[in-house]
Amino acid sequence: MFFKFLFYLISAGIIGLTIVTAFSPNIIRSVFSLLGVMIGVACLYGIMGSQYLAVIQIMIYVGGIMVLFIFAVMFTSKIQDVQVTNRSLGKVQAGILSLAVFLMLAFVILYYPFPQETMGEHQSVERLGKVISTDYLPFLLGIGVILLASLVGAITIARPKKGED
Amino acid sequence: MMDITVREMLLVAAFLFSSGIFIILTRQNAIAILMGVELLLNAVNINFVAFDRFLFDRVDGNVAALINIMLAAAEVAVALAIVICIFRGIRTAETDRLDSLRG
Repeated sequence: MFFKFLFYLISAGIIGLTIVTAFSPNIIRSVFSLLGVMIGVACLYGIMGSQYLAVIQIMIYVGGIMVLFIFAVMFTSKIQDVQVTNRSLGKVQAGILSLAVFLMLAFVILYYPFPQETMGEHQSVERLGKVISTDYLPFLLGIGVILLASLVGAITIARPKKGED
Repeated sequence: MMDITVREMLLVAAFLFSSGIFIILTRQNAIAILMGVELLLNAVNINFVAFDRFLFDRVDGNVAALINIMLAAAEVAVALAIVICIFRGIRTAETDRLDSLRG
């Protein structure tokens, strides 16, 4: 019962912060509410019992990606006069489209006959570590190589050229 | 035992997904569009973990979500570097102004 209450609290926080992210004209406020959404998603992982993913979510999303976003916003944007809507597609049409997507997904979720919920013992860090280091080891190594290559590429792209600045 | 059902968790993820689509469709700033993409990725990760936890009692979906998070980190690093590079060239990050190939 306590978990259920906690789940509803976190879901309400996530939904509210997502609405702030979508509608706020100030992009700094959007970034910080997105940070709140990421922390809420980490709490959902914790509720679902996969603590390792919660820690990874906090470390990578909150500690890495959002800090990168804040740096990029402060480098580039004129923070106050951001145009919220773009010119080719207005807010109303985009709202109708995304509402249609949500209703479609909700219809499928509510009426699909899911199999019997098992609710086994929670996914411990031990199980996940065993699977990662045996079955999924090539994927993990490949991800490491991709991450290294993309970070080197990002530094190369963002570095000022010679004779500039 | 806790009595959260899989449907509630999937509904939260569906809301995150559709609002990510809304952000991608409405925003004009390239960084804000990337924020929408991050919301989509998070919604998908919630789906993976929820299927693992409530339906199948396995950890394969957790591994998929882990790989997804790391790929999101790589993607965001490269994309923000490109945005900064574009900003250095034409002093803006608004996507409607990126028309220098139009001739």
